[in-house]
Amino acid sequence: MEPLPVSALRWHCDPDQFEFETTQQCPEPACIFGQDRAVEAIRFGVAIRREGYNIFAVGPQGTGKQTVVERCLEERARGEATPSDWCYVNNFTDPRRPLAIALPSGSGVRFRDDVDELIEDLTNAIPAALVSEEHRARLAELEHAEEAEQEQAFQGLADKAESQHVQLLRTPGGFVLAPAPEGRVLEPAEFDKLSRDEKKQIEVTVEGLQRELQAIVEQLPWRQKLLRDRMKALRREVLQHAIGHLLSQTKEKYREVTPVLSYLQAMEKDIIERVNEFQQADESPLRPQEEPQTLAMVLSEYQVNLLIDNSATQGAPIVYEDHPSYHNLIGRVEHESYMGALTTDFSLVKAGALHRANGGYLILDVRQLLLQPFAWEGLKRALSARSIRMESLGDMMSLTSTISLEPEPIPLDVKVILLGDRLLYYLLYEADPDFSELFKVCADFSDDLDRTPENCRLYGQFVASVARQEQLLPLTRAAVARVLEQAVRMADDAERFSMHVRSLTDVLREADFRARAALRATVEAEDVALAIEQQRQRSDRLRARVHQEIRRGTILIDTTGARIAQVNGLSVLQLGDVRFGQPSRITATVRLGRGDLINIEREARLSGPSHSKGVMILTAFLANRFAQEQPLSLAASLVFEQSYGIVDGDSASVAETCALLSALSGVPIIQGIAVTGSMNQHGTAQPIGGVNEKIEGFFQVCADRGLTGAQGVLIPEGNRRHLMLREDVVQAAAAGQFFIRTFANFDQAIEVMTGCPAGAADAQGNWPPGSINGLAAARLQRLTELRLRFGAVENQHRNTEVTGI
Amino acid sequence: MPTIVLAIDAYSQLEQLLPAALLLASGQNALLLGVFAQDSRLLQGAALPCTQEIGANSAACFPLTAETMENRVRRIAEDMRRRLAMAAERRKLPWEFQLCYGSISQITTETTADAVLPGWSGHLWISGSHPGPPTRSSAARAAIAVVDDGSLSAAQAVEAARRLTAAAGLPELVILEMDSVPVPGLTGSARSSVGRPPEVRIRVDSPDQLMRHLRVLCPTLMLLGRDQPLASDSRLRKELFLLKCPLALLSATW
Repeated sequence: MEPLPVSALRWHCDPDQFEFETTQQCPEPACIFGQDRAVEAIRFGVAIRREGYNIFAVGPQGTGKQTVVERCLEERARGEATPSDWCYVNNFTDPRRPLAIALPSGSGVRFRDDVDELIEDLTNAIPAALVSEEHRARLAELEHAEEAEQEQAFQGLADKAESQHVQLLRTPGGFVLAPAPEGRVLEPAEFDKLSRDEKKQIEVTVEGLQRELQAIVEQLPWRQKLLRDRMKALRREVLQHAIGHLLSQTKEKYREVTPVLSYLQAMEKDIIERVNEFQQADESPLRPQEEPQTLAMVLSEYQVNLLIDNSATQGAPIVYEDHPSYHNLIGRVEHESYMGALTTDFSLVKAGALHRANGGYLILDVRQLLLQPFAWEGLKRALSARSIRMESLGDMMSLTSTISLEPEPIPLDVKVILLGDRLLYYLLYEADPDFSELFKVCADFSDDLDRTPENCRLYGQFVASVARQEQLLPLTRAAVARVLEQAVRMADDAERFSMHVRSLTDVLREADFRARAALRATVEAEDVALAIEQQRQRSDRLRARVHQEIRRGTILIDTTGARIAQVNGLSVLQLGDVRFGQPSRITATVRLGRGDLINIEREARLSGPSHSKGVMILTAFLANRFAQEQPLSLAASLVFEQSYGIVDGDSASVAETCALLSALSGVPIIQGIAVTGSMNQHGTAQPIGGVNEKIEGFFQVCADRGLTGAQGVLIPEGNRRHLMLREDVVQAAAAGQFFIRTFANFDQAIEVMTGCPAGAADAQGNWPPGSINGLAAARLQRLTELRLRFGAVENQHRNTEVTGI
Repeated sequence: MPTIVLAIDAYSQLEQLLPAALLLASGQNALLLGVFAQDSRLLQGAALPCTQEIGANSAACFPLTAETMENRVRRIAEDMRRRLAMAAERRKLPWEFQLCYGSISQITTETTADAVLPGWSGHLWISGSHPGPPTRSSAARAAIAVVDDGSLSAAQAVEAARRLTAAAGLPELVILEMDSVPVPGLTGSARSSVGRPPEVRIRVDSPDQLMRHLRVLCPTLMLLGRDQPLASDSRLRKELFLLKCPLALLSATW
């Protein structure tokens, strides 16, 4: 197998394919780039007006979900109707349940201002009416009339009593009728001297007059009530005249808006009903511990709480809530402290994101949403009920016992778009039965995109667009080409572009920074290359340290010579944003046994499930190849030397099998070649991940020691399309100092690794002598014979024990 | 030391009279003399076996004895005495309190004090439950009112009202001119307003008109000379009671 040509090691983007010199000349992309499936899903989800068709935009972080979603929404929202304004007003029959009023967009502010102006007018008109001379005079007339009647009643009785020689006197607690025959109250001694008849007569007279007096006194409360009612009616009449024409003007203005008209009518009725409060609000004295209840305070209960003002909104609103707590979504009822107690009213009702987005679209990050207590449940409840009902969390959990409000629920018509990764999407789908009912549309964002010529062109436009949005220096076409190469590298596939917009934007920003530092007017390819290299350098401490230890010989890696049962495997380490490859020594031992293959990593509990599976597969491969008609009489062990962390993945299974075959056959493995690849039970090579990092890791070790020209890496054929190697590797390959080769099956791999033919079995299953497989089979045969011999001896011993011989 | 008599009985609203008395007394370090009139008729009537008390609010009948009646009246008197004492001592004014048998009008007529503030007790109806006059805010009741009927007594009352208005820092003085004839020797200076609070002069042609003006003005205090005919006008007294406006009758010695 020949080494791969240089052209296969890295895709080079030709800058000449772009029609612009710099991105300044590049047109804005006509459509959203690279996420056709997701965009189509979003457009569908937005257009369909059925319950439950909210959208979940799925994809890894950094793929531009929010940007794409917002752009799709803006396209549509612009042409949609602007939703209503919403106000809360006092409910005069039940102040704990403020009423919600919807108004055409832009009318909410006018309504609020009109009511404020009305209140200001009333603040002047009401006192003027109630303290006017005319009103006071009429009230005084009523009082005087009543006083005159009362006086007449009492005086009448007093006169009658006097005519019957009895005097009507006041006592501290009431009245008393005392006999006074000569205009002077009788003394007790004088009374005693009277005859029995005279006394009786006096008693009868006094009793009769007492009854009349009682009748008068009994009537007094009723008369007082009548007087109060008349005075109240008078005040109402005066107030009606004072406020009637003011309110009628406002009513006329809103005659087409029935809820507003109803409110104004209720307001008028309430003002008139509360005439006594208005009277008292203007007067003193008050109890010392009370603050004066001014007229302004009383009239403030008629103000309008403008909850949602869409006067500045054009089309449907698009709201992104970056802190989707329960109250930020549903709204809240605030409280004020007043004389040591918490109080609230309709004016302290505050809107949440659902209110602001009502009639439009609400975008939420699902991770943030799920982190907030009760937010997810609150959102679902609102969407299911299609209304926003404000409930305090404290009330729901019975943690607070203050008086709170139950504002009238507001009908909800909103499309919710959640942004999240696939794990959360599938977890919600499995665990929450409501989820699939409410979020029927999945907008799946791709991680990458096919590298076609058309997509190259569009990707160039996309880069230009990002540069403009970020206000970067224009990029030359060569710089754009370099960026596209980096996008391919990020995709880990030479035939695809990565759609991780955030990482790409970081590269652009840093390239811009480099260009500005170099006082350039445009971003050049070298700026992009430098930015990429600097990014790598910043994260390179760990890799450099590992390679330093390899250089120092602390970590034992051979890159020259040949060793039996020892091979250079390749692994990738990933920590945060750090990802690099390094060679790992894999060794194998074989001995007589019963076909056990010991995965030392697994025994030490350092083997992940995928790695264990890979070892089991290679065990099956060996058995399939060499143990069809005889037992596998070996015991073997495999280990990643000097590895003390978890090893997972099956990308070393080919390397491990090479080590085993080398141990069996006794044929050494060339240490200057590293191998990576997975294989199935039949020995077919399977592609692996991180192929670029693995190759570069081994290259670096060899380069550090000096390339010999006989060093390289063996990779599965299926990984050829993933190659996007660093320029230094490519240049070394071009100079013949390093090679990359591919293999399609295990036999091809072992031939390269040992330099010996693998051999093919004949029809009887016999392997050519001297081939790797033949040598391995011969060894296994000897082990089987040894095992049989030892097995016979054991049986003999066992029989001797049983029979006692 | 001038003496100010508060002529009160068991039904008087002392809280209306005290501020006026303190206002009068404070500039002159006058003696506040509370004279409480016990109605002897009441005590006599309470002692009779045929009399019962009719409750003012309940209209129920309660048995009555002279002893209980006297105790109740005495308790009221003691309460008033205590309140007078507290008010006077707070202002560091001398005070006394006396009990006598008789009526407020008797005290008012017979006293030789420099000023008398008679409580109103000529009413028969229940004072506590009376809705009261349409009240103005306290700021609107800041004026002292005085009736100038052209008499010497009236002139002295007007002069006293001026001094009182200035001393109390009140915003204005209302002079109700009734049958006003200029008093010789007093025309020029009596009407001069230089250095004095503003005076509002209102022409009044009849007692009815006077009452109407008073209802509108709702003055803080009404001053009259003891020799003025209006001083003994029961209708005026009643109107002032309804307006919760105390009346002060000033002697020539004030």
